[in-house]
Amino acid sequence: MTSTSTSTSSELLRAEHLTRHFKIGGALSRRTLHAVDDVNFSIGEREIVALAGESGSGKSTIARMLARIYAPTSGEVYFEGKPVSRIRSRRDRLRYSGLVPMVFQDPFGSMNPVLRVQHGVLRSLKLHRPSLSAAERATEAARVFEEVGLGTDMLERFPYELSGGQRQRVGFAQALAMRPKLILADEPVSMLDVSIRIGLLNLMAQLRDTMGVSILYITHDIASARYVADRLIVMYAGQIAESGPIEEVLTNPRHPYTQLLLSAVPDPRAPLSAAGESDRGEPPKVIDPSPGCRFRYRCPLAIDTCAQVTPVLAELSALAGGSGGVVPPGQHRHDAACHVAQAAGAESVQAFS
Amino acid sequence: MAMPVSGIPTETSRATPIQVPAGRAFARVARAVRSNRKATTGTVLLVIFILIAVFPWVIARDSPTQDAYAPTLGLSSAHLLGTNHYGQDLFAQLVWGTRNVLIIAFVVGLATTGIAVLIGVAAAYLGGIWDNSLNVLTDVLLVIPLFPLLIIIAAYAHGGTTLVLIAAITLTSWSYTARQLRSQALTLRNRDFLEAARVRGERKLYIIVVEVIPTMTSLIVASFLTNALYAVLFASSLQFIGLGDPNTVSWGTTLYWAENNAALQTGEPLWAIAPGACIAVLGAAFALLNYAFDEIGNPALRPVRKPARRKA
Amino acid sequence: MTDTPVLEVSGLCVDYVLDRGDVRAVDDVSFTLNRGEFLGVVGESGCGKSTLLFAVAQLLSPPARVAEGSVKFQGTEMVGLTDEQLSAIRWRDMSVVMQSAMNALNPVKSIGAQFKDAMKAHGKPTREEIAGRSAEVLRMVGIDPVHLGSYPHQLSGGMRQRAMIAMAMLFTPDLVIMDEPTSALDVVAQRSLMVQIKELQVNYGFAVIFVTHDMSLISHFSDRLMVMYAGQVDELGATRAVFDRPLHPYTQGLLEAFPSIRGPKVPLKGIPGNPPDLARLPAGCRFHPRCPHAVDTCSQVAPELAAIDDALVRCLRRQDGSLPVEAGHAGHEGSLSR
Repeated sequence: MTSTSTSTSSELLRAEHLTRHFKIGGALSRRTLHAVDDVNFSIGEREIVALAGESGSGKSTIARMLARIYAPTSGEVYFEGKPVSRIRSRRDRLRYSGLVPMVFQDPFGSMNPVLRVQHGVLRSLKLHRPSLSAAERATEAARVFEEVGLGTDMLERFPYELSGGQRQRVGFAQALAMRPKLILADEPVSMLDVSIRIGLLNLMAQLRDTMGVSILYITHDIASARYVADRLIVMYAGQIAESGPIEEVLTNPRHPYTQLLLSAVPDPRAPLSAAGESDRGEPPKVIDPSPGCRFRYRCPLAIDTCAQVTPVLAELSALAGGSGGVVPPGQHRHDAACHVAQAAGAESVQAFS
Repeated sequence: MAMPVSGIPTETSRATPIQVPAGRAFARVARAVRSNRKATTGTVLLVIFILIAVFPWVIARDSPTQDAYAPTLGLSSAHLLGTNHYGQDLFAQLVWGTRNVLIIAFVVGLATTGIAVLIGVAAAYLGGIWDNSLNVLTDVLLVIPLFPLLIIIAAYAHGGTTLVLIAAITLTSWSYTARQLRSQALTLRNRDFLEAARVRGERKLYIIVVEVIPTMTSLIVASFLTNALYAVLFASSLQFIGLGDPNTVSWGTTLYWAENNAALQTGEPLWAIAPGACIAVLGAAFALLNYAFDEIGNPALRPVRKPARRKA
Repeated sequence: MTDTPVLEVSGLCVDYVLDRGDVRAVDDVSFTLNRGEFLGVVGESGCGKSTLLFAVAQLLSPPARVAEGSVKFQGTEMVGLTDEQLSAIRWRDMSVVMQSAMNALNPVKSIGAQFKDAMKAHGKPTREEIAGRSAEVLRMVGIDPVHLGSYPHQLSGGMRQRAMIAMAMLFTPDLVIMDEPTSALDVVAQRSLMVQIKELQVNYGFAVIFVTHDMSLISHFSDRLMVMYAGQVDELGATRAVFDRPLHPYTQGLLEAFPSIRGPKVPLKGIPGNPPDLARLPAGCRFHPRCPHAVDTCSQVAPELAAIDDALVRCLRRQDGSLPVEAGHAGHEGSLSR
């Protein structure tokens, strides 16, 4: 379900050296949790970018920085070329939150239980499209509900009368009501039943295809990422391990962590891979980390440099197709933050095979 | 209805409401009250008292203050509870006294809960220095023993009117409820729907009033009932020890006069017992309603019908 | 080698006694579990799989109760036993692993203290025996015994789940019941834990009932698979057979709802609609409103569980042959074990 166009028309959002640290411990402690460290990526128009990683990888923190719930410790987010940290006035803040809304993970907690389901949509309309009259708002709410596949008879209902899948659709309706350019979807299907997920994923693809909305799809489920996303960013311990066009990354994963992740995903149609079986999936420690690659403790290919120099996300010499190192304009490159992978250039080195 | 785009099934609402029946809020509450025995009893009692307070002349033909009758008459059809030492009809006193008691109960209940909601929820939601300063205020008042404080205030105001009573009780009671409401508001602070409201661009005051407080209604109603109950008890106690206005017609003042005239010792026990019983029954009404709302709001607290268990 | 199956469940029905009438959460479930067998129970929310598990473990609390049926553990009827009688069996012969360790482990006691509690509940072990066995079970699940002194919050999610499994192994039971023990874990930790569970099972020969919503995960570990929907068993058969040739339309729908990492990308449909409210079930087959193959009889007649080849399926059209069985997915060569 990837986008039919291979060229991204323009860049919508760019994150540069995005960093977020949290002080932990009591007031006297000086320990810092490095939730996100020096992250660089961009999202274009009309594309779904999957931000994948395990818990503690920093993906939700990135989403919250993009939604301006947290301010970055350092680094900057540029939206439509302008820095987001400069947004001060209420009008600008409203405008930004309408263009970059967020859809939350928990269908049971993301709606106020004592208010009707249309409340959020109507408020979104009232705040972000003030030119509409009350009657126009009501019509628009109905239209947006239909767009996400909900019957208009649901507008008057209360959240407890809706199923999980329906509530998540309401979440998307609320976002759509504001005519967004980029929807931040924080694990929107993780808490839904399997048979319901596909409906939501199809909806996301449809939003991209017919309405041109970009989506940052945060997930820990790589299979669902593959189903809807155009590009994949793999996070580990607060840093980007690998990024690139999704098919490319999945067929030719270059970072050992990506390889480990892919080997662990169960696929009923294939026998379970033994690669990386001994890895327990222990989460990395990102409290006051020392320099060097954070994956080195688990990596079978770690060399001396890995313990001394933190690898930088850089383009690998060539794509698997062998285009000779020249990336055609409009294509996204395949990057990995791994000394070994970068040294190997066009060759793909298997850490977990 | 727009044609659904291929691949996306249109979901119409086939979900049925779970336990709370559909309908407007009032109908829901009415149904819940009817089904719960505690709620029904409490409501009936309270309604009776309210009716008595609003239409006292319907029930008691006599004036409560006129000492027109022969003193210390026993029970009779003319004087349902007899007359007191001054020749006043006791029944009429109690009936007319209901008004004063209920006014105190409801006004204090509303005022206390209102202040507590403002301070407690604001402290929780605004956080930071607001939370800290409001907490200090709340805690100071919380720690001071309530009844002695009440006595001092009432005495300082020279045993004032009902208004003084109301003010004194409200001032000393709001802190406990404020604490409770703040705690509950804190648990809500990080719920996704509040974050969604923030991200949507809502202002803080709007979120507090429209999004947070409505989810706390059951605790707020419970607080109101508790505060009303304690208002009745405290007010009656203050009146009993003479700090109310002894010339107001109220149950507590009736007790005061009964005590002054050593009613229990001089063979007029009803003078003391009857107002006490009224206080107890009204208090029970509030307490029953409180339990009932707990059960309605939290199904886990409902009495469980135990099916017969087979013993091996 | 005894022939008695470890577990024999027949006609089990579990009701929730509610004000508005009883709701049947588990309807007429029957299955047999033999020594060393790994049974996967799969279904989505509301299908009754967790309730079934609790009923088998005799852990139901009001308003839930066993309305009908029997649960025979190693030949002994369990339904109706008192708590004292049950406690003799509990943990020694049958143990339970819960979904979330943080819910099952006592947060204010160290792991070692909890192991000690469990051991002392079933006999009078000496201090050396306690220490020895505790260290042994921790090593069995790959945890350094130094963690006996740790509190649950000091361990990572994966380690906590392992500690729970270690606790379940204290008496090497004959049956271990697991309620989604991996669902709170990330995919690498999940895989590692599953492999560990399977290894223990093969080494120590206990039977396992494993409840999950993740069909892909269980496909590699279970011997047989039971698919539940709306309180009933819709399909029961050998795992590989269920995956390669799913008989029930619901199973087919479920399998098709898992996007794949490898292989060609295909648009998927999922299963439209929602599971039914157990208090207002549709007439006839419970799945028919969502079934792409439903015909008129499906809304009139409630199908029974019947055998087709080596599997059991609850579907009128399969049973009368009007929906022919074809290979649903390309089978893969080789067996599951490596």
